[in-house]
Amino acid sequence: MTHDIVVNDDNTASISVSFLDEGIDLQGNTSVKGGVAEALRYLPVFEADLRRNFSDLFPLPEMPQGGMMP
Amino acid sequence: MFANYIAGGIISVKGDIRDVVTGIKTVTATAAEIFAGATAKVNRKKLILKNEDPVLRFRIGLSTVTQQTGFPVEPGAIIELDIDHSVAVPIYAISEGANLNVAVMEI
Repeated sequence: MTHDIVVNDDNTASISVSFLDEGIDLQGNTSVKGGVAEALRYLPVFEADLRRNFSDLFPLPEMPQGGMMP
Repeated sequence: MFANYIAGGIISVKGDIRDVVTGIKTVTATAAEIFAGATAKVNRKKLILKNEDPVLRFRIGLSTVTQQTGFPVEPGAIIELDIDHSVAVPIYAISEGANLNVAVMEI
């Protein structure tokens, strides 16, 4: 995921995220109260919510095949 | 903006259900815009929020909302906001404590 943060004049910060680097056509935009620090603090939460709410767009992780324990 | 506040009850939503967007948002101690999808729904007419936490309360308002100001949404409560669809007004939410989950519906 890639992101961009823009600080606004009204004490808010806008966050834009994109999952194109993962081959997923999903972009998200939101705003937080505060500046860069608040935006960076909220960013992983926003990312997790997008992955959860759009889980059908993300491929399931492959389960490892069976084998002998070392 | 007009709000119906229902705690744990049944709500009746009047609107075009074909355009409904739903999702779960994590509300944190950082006030952030709240919406259902990847961005706020364009021309939304209703915003319905359900506090899915059993103990924590969150507050909503404009971008100036704090943990002490804004309208409180009690654990398990549902709040319905009628919004002027011609004016895009971001609604912000902030937890009074730890992170909590909010079910969101936009029509």
